[in-house]
Amino acid sequence: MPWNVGILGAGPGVAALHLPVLGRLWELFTVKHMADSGSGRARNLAVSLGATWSAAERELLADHEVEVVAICSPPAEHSRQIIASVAAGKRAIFCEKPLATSKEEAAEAIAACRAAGAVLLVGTNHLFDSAWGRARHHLVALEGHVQSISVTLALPPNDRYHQLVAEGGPFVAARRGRPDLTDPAVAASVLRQLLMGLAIHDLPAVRDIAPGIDEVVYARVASPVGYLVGYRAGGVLVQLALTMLPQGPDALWRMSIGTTHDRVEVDFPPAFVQAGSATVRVRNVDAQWVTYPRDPEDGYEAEWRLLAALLQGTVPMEYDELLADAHYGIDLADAAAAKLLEGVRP
Amino acid sequence: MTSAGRRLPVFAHLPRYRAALAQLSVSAGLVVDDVRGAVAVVPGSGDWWQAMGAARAGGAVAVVLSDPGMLPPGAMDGSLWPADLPVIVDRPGLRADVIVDSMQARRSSPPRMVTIDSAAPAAGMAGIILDGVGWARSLMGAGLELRSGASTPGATMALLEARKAGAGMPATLMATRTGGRRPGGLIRLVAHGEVRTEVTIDQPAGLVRVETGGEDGVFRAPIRYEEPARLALRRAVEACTSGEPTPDLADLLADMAVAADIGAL
Repeated sequence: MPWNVGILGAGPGVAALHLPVLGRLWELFTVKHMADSGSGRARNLAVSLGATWSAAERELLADHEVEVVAICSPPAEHSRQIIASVAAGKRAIFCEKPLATSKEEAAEAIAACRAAGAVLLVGTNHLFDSAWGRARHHLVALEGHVQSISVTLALPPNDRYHQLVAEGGPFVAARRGRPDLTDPAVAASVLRQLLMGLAIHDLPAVRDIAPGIDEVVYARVASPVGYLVGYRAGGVLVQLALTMLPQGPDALWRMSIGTTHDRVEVDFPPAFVQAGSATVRVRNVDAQWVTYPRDPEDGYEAEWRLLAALLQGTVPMEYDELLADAHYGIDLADAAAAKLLEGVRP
Repeated sequence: MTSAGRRLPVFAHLPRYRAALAQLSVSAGLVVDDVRGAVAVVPGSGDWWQAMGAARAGGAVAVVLSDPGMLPPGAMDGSLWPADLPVIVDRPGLRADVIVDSMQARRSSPPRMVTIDSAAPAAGMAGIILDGVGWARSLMGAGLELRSGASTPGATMALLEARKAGAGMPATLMATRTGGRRPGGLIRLVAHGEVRTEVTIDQPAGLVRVETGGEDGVFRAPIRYEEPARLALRRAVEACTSGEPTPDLADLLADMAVAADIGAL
């Protein structure tokens, strides 16, 4: 029998991404209930699926048919909703990234799940992409040591991809005016949000090969919206770059890992479109390039399959790893924001 | 061929330039005894600045500087070089024709940010950084300055900035030291913006690829089969004929200053 899922939130991530994925995984999951905060979007989506809807999280959590809660709300709500889901007796929680926006919140959410034995999965989809697994295997198997990591993102507006996988848009809220990035406090806040919202996709994978953050070397926001962050993680240098553009070519989302021997590049497909796994290219020490074949399954599907495996008990829960991943992202976001403000504040 | 209709004499010892001269049989010809009145090909190994000075003192009418290596800061003073003595710099990782291809494909759309990823054995690292900086300067249309950075035994990263029309454009560089015995290394550069330029220069693999992308798709520039030495000599002939100043030396010295700052991290 499929697990019954209740979804908190009805934004583009739900409409364009999780609902199609769950539709593909119908033998594992059934969407039973959707809730938003009164926008009416949950109703529209639920009707087409034959699911229940409500305009309050409380009703969804009180729905005894819901076994799995998918938290797809704004990040500030995540940890509280995890704790509320556990308190409501739910067996499992799928939480969109990030797990929490502070280390205290993250610790409380993990503690609640651990105490109740609840399954928790954070939707850092790149970590679950089979191509990343292949790249990770390559890095472990080769003789060289990791020396550098670059994660480069160049993103057009999401709506370009929403239109290919959903109807009823536009899904992106009208722009409320551009933040004043010349104000250091505003810039630091934007930087923190961007790191917690976008860099967070890859930080668990980065942490996997470069644990710890010793020093943020530079951090700045880039125009029109973006960031440049460089930091040292032990003997590894890590660089994160983002630019978000009003128009332009398709998304570039590339993680490059330089070792003493090889260079591994992982090109992730654009978000939302479910175009299969990332592409892995390896350039070895003899300048030979190898491109591995892609898998039809992407990281979104893989993360839901993993949730099913966790529910079935065939894969163990690793609460400490989830907490460490959350701390890594929060520590980096805080340290980068502090670096940006360095020398500005009296 | 010069405006006077004669072959321009070229004073060259390096075999690849002698081979290139055979491919320029109408416009240039080899001389072996005297640099006076000739284009002097100066090898970029060792103290090439002194060698260029010797060529100038010997009466060369132009200099082709071949694959220059880094010299210590202060070893060169570009202001001392006469403006009417053209210098063509042959940088295998920064071909003038490929740069033109990449600029034309962008159709004047400025980049918002440039990211450079490079990898090379320790011996080739300085050259790879130099060419990476040169590519970023070319695509950004302005000289770069080092803002911040860090280095470990295995890698160097840098935050750079180009200032153009009063605005700062950021660039980043990550250079990783690898094993390998082949000369040269890898440059993977992306100029981000409404138009994206993706450059791959892999010297050991013999790969030069420039792709320009927009909403309509990706255009890959044609492979430039002309030998770099022939290109350099042809540009020298053109410079001597036109009398137009060439920016190569100033660009090289600017790139070297930035690369030296990065190397000191």
